[in-house]
Amino acid sequence: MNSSLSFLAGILSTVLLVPSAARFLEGQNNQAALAKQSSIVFSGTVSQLGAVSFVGVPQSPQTIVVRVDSVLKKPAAVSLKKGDNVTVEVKDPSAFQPGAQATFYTEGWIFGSGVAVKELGHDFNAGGGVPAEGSPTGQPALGQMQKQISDQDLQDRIASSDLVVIGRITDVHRWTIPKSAAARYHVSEHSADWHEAVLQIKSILKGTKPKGNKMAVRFPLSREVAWVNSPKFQKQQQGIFFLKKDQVSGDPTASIGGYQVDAYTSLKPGDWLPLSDEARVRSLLKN
Amino acid sequence: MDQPFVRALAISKTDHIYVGVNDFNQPSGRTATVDVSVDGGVTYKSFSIEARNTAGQDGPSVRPAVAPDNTVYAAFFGWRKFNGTTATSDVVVVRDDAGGTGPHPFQALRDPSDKLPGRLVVKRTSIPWSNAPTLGQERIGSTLSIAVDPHNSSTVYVGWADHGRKGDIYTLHVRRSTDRGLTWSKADLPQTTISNATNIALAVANNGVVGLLYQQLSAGRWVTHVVQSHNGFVTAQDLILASVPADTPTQQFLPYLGDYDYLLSVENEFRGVFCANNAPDRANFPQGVSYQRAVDFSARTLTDGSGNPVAVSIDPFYFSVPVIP
Repeated sequence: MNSSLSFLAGILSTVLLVPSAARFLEGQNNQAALAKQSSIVFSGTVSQLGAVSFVGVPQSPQTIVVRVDSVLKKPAAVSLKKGDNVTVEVKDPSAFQPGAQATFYTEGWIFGSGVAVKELGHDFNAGGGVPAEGSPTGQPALGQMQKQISDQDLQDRIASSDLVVIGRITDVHRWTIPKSAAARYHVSEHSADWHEAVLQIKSILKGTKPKGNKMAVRFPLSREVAWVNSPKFQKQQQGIFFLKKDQVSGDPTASIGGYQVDAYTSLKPGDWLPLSDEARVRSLLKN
Repeated sequence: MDQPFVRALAISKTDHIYVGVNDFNQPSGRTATVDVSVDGGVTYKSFSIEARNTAGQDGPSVRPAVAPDNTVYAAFFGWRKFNGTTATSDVVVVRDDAGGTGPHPFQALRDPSDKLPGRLVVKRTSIPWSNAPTLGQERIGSTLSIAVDPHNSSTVYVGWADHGRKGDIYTLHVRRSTDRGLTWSKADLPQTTISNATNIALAVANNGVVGLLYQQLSAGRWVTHVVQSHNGFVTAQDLILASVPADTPTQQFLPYLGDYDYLLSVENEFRGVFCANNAPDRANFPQGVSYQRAVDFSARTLTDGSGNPVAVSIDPFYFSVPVIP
C-alpha cells in the first residue's frame, strides 16, 4: 500500500514538475534570446516613475529612473556602472513601482551626461531583491545570467567558425601578398599589416582536420582602429583558436612545408581563448 | 573603397552631392573618383578623375569643392610611385563647369605638360606614408583640402602636406589660383608653409575671406589653429582654438587625432570640427570651451554620471568663429 502511494506520489510529482521545468527552460531561453538581442542588460532598482535621470531626455509617463545594481552587458564605449541612475523608457509603466527590482534588457537610446535606454524586456527579481546565486525561483542568478550571455557569445563564435583548434604557435612572420594576387591589395590608412602564424595543431574541436599537423593563421598586427582589438599572436602562444577561411587578406592559400594549404584568419577579439576555457568550449560544442 | 568625403550644395532647390572617394574598383589603378548626385542623393554616377598612370592606385584623399554657379573642383594625390614609406605624388586639381553632369565630366582643366585632364599644381613631391605614430602620436600620409570662393568660382585654394624642408616631418602648403585653376601660385602663399602640421582644411566665406584650419605639433603640444585672410595670407588673423599636451592620452590606436578635420563657411561664420585631448583645462582653450559631458573645471577632471573621475581621452570639438570683415 505504502509503496503504491509512493509510486503515485512519484507520478504526481513528475506530472507537476514537468510543466514547471518546461517553463523554467522556456524562461531561460527567452532570457537568452532577450540578452542576445539587447545591447545593454542590467539589474536595478526603480526609484522614480514618469521621470528622467538627466536633462535632454524627453520625459513621459513611460520613462522611469532606475538605479543600477549590476551591469550584465554593455558596449565598451558606454559608461555604466553600479550606482548610476538610468532612464528607461518602459513598455508598460503600470508594471513598475518604486523599489521594484528587476533585470532590464534594453537597447541604447540617448547618451549624454547620463544614459537612457529603451526596454526590450524585463524580469522582476525574486522577492524584489537583487537576484542571488542559486535563486530558487527559476530566475537565473546574476552569475548564471552573465555566464549565459557570455556562453551565447561564445556559441555564436563557435557557430561562425570554420575550425576550432587547440594548438600552439610555432612561428610568426610578416606576410606580404604574392605578386600574383597583388592587384587585389590596396594601400590605405586601414591596412592590416598582415602577419602569419604557424599553428601546431593539438586537437580539432570543430571542423575537419587539415592535412598535416600545422596550419597558417593570418592576423592583423596593425594598431589601426579597425584592427586594434584583433588577436596579436606570439611565438609559443597556446590556446583555443576560432578560425575562418581567409577571405580578407587577398590570398586564400598559404604555403606550409612546401605544400599549398588553405589559409585561415583570426580577426575578432575573442577569436583566441586560453586553455583554461577548454572545458567550457567543449561543453558548448555538445549543445 | 576608401575615405569617402562629402561636399554638398543646394542648387536650384536640389541638393547636389559630390563624394570624393578612393575607389579601388576603378580600372587601371586610376582610383581617384568623384561620385556625383544632382538629384539629392537618389541616383549617383561615378567618375574616375585620374587620367594618368599610377603606382597601382592614387592616395586616399580625394576632395571635392562646389560653387553655387555649378563649378566643381576636386583635388587628389596622383601617386606615381610608392615604396611603402614614401609616395611620389602629383597634387592634381580637376574642374567641371556643369556640376559634373556633362558627357566628359571633370576634364575642363588640362595640364600644359601632357595635355591630359587634371592640372598638376605640384609635380612628384615626396609624401611620407606612415601608419604608425610619426608626427607625435599621429600617423601621416594624406592630408589634403580644396576650397572655392562661393561668389567667384575663379578663385580656388588647395592645401596639402609633404616632406617639406630637411628636418621637418610633415609640412603644410597652401596655393591659390585666380583663373579657374589654369595657373597656380608658384610658391606657397605667405605664412602657409607650416612645419610639422597636419589635418589641413580650407573654406572660403561669402566675402572672399579664406579660412585655414590645421593642427601643429609644437613644443610637445597639439595646437589647433584657424587662420583667416582676405588677401591670400599676406595678412592674417590666427586664432588658437586649442593647445593641448601631445603625449596625453597615450595612443591606444590610430589615428590619434583623426585623419582629417573639417571647415566650412556658413553665412558670416566659419564652422568646423577637430579632435583633441579632452582634459577640461580652460588654459588649453584660449577662445573658451564648453563641454556636453560631465566635467569638473575646478579640478580639471572629466567625470562620469556619478561624479567619479574619468581618464582623459580624445574628443571631437565643434567651433564657430565670425568671418573677419
